[in-house]
Amino acid sequence: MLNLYMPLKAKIIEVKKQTHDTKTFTIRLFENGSKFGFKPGQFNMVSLPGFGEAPISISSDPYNNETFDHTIRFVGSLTNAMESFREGDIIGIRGAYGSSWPVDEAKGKNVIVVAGGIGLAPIRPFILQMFHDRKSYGKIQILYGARGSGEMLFTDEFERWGRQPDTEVHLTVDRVAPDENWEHNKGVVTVLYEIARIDPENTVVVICGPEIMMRFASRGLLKKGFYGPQIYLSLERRMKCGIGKCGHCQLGGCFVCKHGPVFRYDQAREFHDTLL
Amino acid sequence: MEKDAVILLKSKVRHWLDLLLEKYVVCAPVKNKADYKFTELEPGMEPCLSYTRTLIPPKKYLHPQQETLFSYKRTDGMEAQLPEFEKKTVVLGVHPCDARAIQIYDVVFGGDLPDIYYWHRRKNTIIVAISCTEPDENCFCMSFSDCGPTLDKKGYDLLLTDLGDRYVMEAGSLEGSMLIQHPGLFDRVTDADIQAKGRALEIAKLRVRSKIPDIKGLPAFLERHYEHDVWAKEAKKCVSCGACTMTCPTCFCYHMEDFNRFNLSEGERVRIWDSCQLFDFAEVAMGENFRRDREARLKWRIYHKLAYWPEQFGTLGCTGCGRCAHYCMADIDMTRSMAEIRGESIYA
Repeated sequence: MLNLYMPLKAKIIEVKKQTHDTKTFTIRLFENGSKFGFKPGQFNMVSLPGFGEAPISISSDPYNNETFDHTIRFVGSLTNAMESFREGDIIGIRGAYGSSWPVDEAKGKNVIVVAGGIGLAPIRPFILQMFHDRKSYGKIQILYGARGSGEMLFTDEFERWGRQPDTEVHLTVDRVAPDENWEHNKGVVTVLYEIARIDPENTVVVICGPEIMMRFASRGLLKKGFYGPQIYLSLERRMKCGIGKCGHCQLGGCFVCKHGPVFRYDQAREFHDTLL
Repeated sequence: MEKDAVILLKSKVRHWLDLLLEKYVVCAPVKNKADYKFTELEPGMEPCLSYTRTLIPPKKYLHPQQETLFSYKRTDGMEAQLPEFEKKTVVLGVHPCDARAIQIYDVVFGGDLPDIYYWHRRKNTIIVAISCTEPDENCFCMSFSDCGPTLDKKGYDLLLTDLGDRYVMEAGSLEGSMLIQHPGLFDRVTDADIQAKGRALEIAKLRVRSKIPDIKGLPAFLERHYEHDVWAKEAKKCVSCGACTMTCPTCFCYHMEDFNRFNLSEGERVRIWDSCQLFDFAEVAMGENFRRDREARLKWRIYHKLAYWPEQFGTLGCTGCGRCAHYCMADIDMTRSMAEIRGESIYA
């Protein structure tokens, strides 16, 4: 029997600053030749001996199985410790765990991505996956909102994303500083529904962000004529084990770590104790 | 009765225990102040096999309150060492409710991602169950069709039933039959013994008076009454101490934490029982807490056991042991809440 609690040793090979409190760590499993595969939307338990473990979504290109990225915001005890980690430092990894974005279900359809703040990180692998396999998907509309422009992740990639065939990137921020030169939109992410002129016809929507944002984002879609089964979202819950044992992430008869984190909206709505 | 059944006179129990202690670690309920406690027997120590319930169920031998998963050195990484057992452990005097809970644990800690630490202990454990002839007002095992004061073929290695001056012992596995192979110690089971067993169990069944009716319809029933006033009323009494979950034989949740040594470069990753009744159980980074209200936490415990568990694990999540009500300092009793919703007496 495998010891599922034992992390694999991994090495940080690159650190990239995203915002004032968020960095992307590129990681390679320690043993040479150790491949790492995952599906877009899945997460790892990131382990720092002495600090514990935390579930962190994988933010990199799923076509790359040599290295993978974790985009980490420094908000908890483990993630705050991560802030000082540099190239060459060793961490532990268990994963990849959980369900994935509807990579196959979305084939032949238009895809709308709705992301808020750090919520772009778990969706980025799906965006990159679609770009690799661009012909399999219809129109792609990426709607990304953050509190301020300084909170936005992957800003250096938006231009490249927007240049992909039949792909739009729409940005909005809640607040614009008085002296700031912001040429995009202002307001919560749902203002982009009007600007992007979203259409429910033959479309799949994926949403990730704070739960309260996902509430308004999905309810806004329903008002636009979308149906629950077209909408997928990724739930954040406390997790200690990642393998459906510790009980913290349970919702109804589900472990979010095993049956989620990606759920269909109509199924997630059935749960109590959500903000949806 | 099958040949794997024998009679042990109570006057010979001590001798039998001494033989067991030569080969096994034996844990059994012993009197502990006003309560009973599963304890590892030292030579000469007397177990108490006639008891209502122990505060902590025997789950602690399979999923200890605190358990080291592995030790680490910050420089050299991590190393797991499973505990080495010289002898198998006999857990003696397990009530049917607790034995059923272990079967439920086998599902929770099994499945497609089995828990190596649980199974390491489980495979080293022999369950000697005892039919329960002393149910009290908090017991409600008769609510469940496959429950009640004894076990039927499953869930034990050896099953004892108290017949006054003697126990009838029935093996449920090869491991269990090994415990009753001492020539001269046991007597043959007679028809009178079988009849006595039947009578003892009938009486015990009648003594289990508390009940949750219509278990099969419970998930739908509870869903319909999610907003019922009884939950807010009970939540007002609840102090979120977590006693109901710590004492529950099917509660399995745990917290994981790194305990550093003083040199800060070495330490151990441990898991410790956790409780969904505690405030921060469902809290995530940035302070979002999905069960901030006591009512949400109280409902979660009851709904998880009775409404969600069958769908989640294919078993019941409750065996009617009565601990959650018995040890609740605020007198919260889910059988009574359920009766209140139905507008009925709990004594069905």
